[in-house]
Amino acid sequence: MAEDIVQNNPIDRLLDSKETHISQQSSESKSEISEKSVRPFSTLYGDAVSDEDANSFMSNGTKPKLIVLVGFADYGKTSFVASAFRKLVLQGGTTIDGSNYLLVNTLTIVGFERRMYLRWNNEHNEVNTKRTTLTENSLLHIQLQGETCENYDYVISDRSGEVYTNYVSRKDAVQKDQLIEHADLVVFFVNSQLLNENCFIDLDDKYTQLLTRLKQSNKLNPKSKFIVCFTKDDDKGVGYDDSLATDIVEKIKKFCELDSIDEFHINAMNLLDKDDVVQRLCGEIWRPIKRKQEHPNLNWNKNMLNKE
Amino acid sequence: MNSMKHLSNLMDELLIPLRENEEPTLALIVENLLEDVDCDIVAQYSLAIISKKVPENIKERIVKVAKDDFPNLNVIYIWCITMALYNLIIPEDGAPIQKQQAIYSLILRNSMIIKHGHFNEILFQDLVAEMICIWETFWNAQSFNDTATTCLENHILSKKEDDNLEITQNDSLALRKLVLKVRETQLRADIVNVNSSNEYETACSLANKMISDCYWYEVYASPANFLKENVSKKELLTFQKIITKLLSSEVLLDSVHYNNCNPSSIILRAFNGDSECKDYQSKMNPLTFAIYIYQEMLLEKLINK
Repeated sequence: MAEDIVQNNPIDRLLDSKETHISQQSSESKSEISEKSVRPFSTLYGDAVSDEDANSFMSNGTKPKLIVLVGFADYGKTSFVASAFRKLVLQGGTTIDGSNYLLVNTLTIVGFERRMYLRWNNEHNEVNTKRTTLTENSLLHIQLQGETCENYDYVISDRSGEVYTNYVSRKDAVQKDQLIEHADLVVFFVNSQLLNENCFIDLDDKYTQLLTRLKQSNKLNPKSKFIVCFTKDDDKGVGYDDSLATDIVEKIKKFCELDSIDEFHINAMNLLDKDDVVQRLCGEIWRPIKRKQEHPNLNWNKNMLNKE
Repeated sequence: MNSMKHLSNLMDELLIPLRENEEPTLALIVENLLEDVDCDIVAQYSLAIISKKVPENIKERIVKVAKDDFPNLNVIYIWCITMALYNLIIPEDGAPIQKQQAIYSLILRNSMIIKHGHFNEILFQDLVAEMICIWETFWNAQSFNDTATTCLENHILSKKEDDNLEITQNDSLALRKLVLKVRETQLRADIVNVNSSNEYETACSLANKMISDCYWYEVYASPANFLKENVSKKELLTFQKIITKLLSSEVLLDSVHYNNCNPSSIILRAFNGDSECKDYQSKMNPLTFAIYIYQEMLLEKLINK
């Protein structure tokens, strides 16, 4: 088992996959990527940071895409984060709308590594993974590089499910939340194993209260993108009722005031498959936010030439 | 001074808003940055805003004012510097633009060459756009009414025998055109000797001739029309290659050598051998380059006048 861990060391894989990816580039772009890629790996030491320190990811003055994962304990948020990172490491990058994006950096490798190790351990040792704790820092960072060497930063909020349980019972806790209302992408997680007659009432009740609190506190920003992710799709259990998934989706749509919302049914423990759903979900997660349009008056040189 | 009215620009660039108790510190920092300002400091501010890199001496000033728990973020530094420059350049409500404000605006415009082709990377674009327009507004208004008439009276009409000719304000537009025509004709005669096989060299020489001609830069706010007619835009080289090419032209360097130029005059600094300014990779054609160097020479002329 220890050998497995060594062989699957994500850092080695990360470097190997980068080599492979780079070797496929033309000689000119290869040298550009190599040059740019040397610097970021000096930062292979950071752990996840607290919500209050979110702005610390703004070191280069460029705003990252903020992705907030919302869901109660055991809904698969952390498994998803671990698997999504593992996918980037093992597969070298990701494809979004036909363009390839290479994983070039993370400022929170320790945060990812711990999440990956704990989930791996859970899968192979049949012991329950220690859940993400209430006091654990939640913010993780990823940097991808597009084909023309432009960098895109992402900050992912992977909070403990208990945070959202607290939100259900304490209004003041929701009001203090600063991430959800500023998120570019909010992913609502739902455990598919609870979509049966016995468990659904509790799930529905908790989600309704959470969404009500978020709505009342103006945390559901219309500028954010919302999606729903149903996890444990490979092990839905006895009594699974697909119509209950539809009920939850409708509820989220209503609270977010949306006509439609994208939903994804996945196994969050394994995103390595290149099936259509996983590809679409990863495409949505890592889709770069639109860069600001250039102000028309900034190119004064060109304007001067065009004016006269 | 009310820096806080543009606080939303900063908040838009942050992942989460600042804490309320941190906001007054921003105002203190901006106030501090407004002390002991001259053209060189304004150039430092401008280059920091455009490059998003804050020099250590400015960082030290900010850190001195900020409390220990103040977030140590580049984007906040840039916002404070932008607001300081904004307060220096933008007139208070209704007040006319002062020449010094226009010069500061020109310094900011000139420093933008370092992001040529990548202006979308500049932070707080609305504020920067508002600041760079001040130069144009001021210069157009100035040259239109006063200087053209003075030039005509002092340098052209005085050579004629008819001393009784009076010029009224109503004539100013026509007179301005007349002055320009005369000077253009003279410059055109001069530039027959300027044309070189290297279009970037032509751009430099022409800009230099225009700036050396006091009538031209005092009368004509924009060199664009004249440069368009005489400089090609077919070639496209990186800034670094253009400078390397021009540095090999000894004749040219003699004519465009400016001592102690303003830090925002990136081309002139590169000509002076400033290695910091040689390596920009933005591509520009000879005409675009001509506009940039003309504006740099103009700034030097105005500062040293």
